[in-house]
Amino acid sequence: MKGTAKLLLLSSLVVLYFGLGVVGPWYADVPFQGSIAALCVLLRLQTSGWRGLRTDLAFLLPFLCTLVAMGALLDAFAMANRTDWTEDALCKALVFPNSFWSIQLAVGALRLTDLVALPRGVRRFFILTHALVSKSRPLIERLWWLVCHDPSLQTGPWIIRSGRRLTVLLAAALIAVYHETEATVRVYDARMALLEENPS
Amino acid sequence: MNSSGQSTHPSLREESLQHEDPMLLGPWEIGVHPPGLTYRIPAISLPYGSRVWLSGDNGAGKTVFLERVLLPRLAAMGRQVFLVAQDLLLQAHVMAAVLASRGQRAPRCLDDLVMAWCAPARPNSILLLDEADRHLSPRTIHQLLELPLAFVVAVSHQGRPCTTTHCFTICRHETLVHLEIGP
Amino acid sequence: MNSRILTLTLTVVVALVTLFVRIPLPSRGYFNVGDAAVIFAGLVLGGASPKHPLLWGALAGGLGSAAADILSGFALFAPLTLAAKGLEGALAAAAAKHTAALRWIWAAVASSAMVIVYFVGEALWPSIGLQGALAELLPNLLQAAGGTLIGVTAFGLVERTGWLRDDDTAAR
Repeated sequence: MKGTAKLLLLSSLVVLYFGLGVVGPWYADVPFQGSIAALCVLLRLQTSGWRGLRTDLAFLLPFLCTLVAMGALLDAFAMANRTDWTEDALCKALVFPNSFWSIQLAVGALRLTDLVALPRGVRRFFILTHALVSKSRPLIERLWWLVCHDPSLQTGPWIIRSGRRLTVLLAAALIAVYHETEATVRVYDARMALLEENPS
Repeated sequence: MNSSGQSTHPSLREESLQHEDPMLLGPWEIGVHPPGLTYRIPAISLPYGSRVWLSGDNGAGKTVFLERVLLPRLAAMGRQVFLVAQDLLLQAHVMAAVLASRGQRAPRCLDDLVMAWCAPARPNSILLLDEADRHLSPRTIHQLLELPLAFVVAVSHQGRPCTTTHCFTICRHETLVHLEIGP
Repeated sequence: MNSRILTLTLTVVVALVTLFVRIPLPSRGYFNVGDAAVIFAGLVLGGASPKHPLLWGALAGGLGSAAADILSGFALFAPLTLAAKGLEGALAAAAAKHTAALRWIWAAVASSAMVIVYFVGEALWPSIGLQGALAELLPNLLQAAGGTLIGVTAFGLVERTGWLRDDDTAAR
């Protein structure tokens, strides 16, 4: 499929799901959301295998558990005179993974060549951001590990300690990601220059 | 297993050595997932002031041992642990920010930065050096080993640093990793 | 210091830090530490960019946070986030050149502006409404306060490292 057509198809599918299942009439439709979830899981398995699915679940499950627990807690206190917090939380627990997967699958299906049709500046921004996010994610996770194990940031109450760690993380991440960005931009510009010289 | 008969680090003051505890490790059998390795560590007692050289083949699991086995257990024992990680060029950014949080400006030179970062270490602190000799000068490595700390564990592929008092080797057989005495 | 590269860097930092810690809220949003990154990004860009610092601050804060929303399953919130965090980033950028005390005040104004934009946006949102917006007000205020505290402190750290003034320091 040509890049532009693929871009249009993927965006239409995502917009369709969001239109019907997130803001539209099928938000609380359990069979619809369940079918979408099953389809997303199958597609995710096909594209990324068990490892990819496990990574997704590791990202989603803690959030979903907190979501449901919070719903139950709000129900227990009858917050804002409502008694449907748990029900609402369960619904969100189904819609949230679907929204997450629909975007992930669409982004994952895009290839560099599909973006060729985009205007030069937009294409550059998308490609660089995509490359940087995937490169910087492990970088920030590693920085966070180093920050959490730094002996100078081990003392004080949890909230103070966490705050100090976050300040150090932000400062360290800025410097580390800036170098990564510089290198990525250099490589991108060099490749683009090469492509323009030898389009074949 | 008791690694006895080893000399104590000469630069440490006698009076502080007498009332400092030895470092007791193991016996442990610890699974680390990922990468799916099981570490079998025998009972080891290291006298205060020990300088340990840890060797092993590439991919034997030395970094995982330092970061995922030794560091959390030493921290759980209440020890203050300074880890100079293998990816020191990345850690340097954390060190610079930590120094800034202490009100200091980070030195430009990596060797000075590491020394400044280690400065608040106490006599009962532990220093782990994971192939620090790839980025730091031999003089700085020597200075780090000479710091008045309880223990220093150094991983190096460039031979045993002359000031180390003990040698251990990490040996891996498929997913099982042993810690053995001697190179 | 290249403003474009710095903006791209901070957009990525904002997106990744926002994805880092997330706690769901009673309505459809989530609590995160991204505000600290937005304030931080605005201050850094305000301090380092000679031209259009407000624009760069708005871009890094708005686009980074909106990207985090899109990637984490909250794509619906992305336009509102773009406006709220963009404004927060721009106002934080305006704070950078002020004295320490004024910087805190400006950063607090920036966070408050974010809370107001979210409150108005959610109150007008058909499936959230005033009740949902009110339920999110306190967590958003806490997020804003924490974000201001952490963001301004982190900027202080970067200033102290000397990195913004001297590239060589970072190029160790």
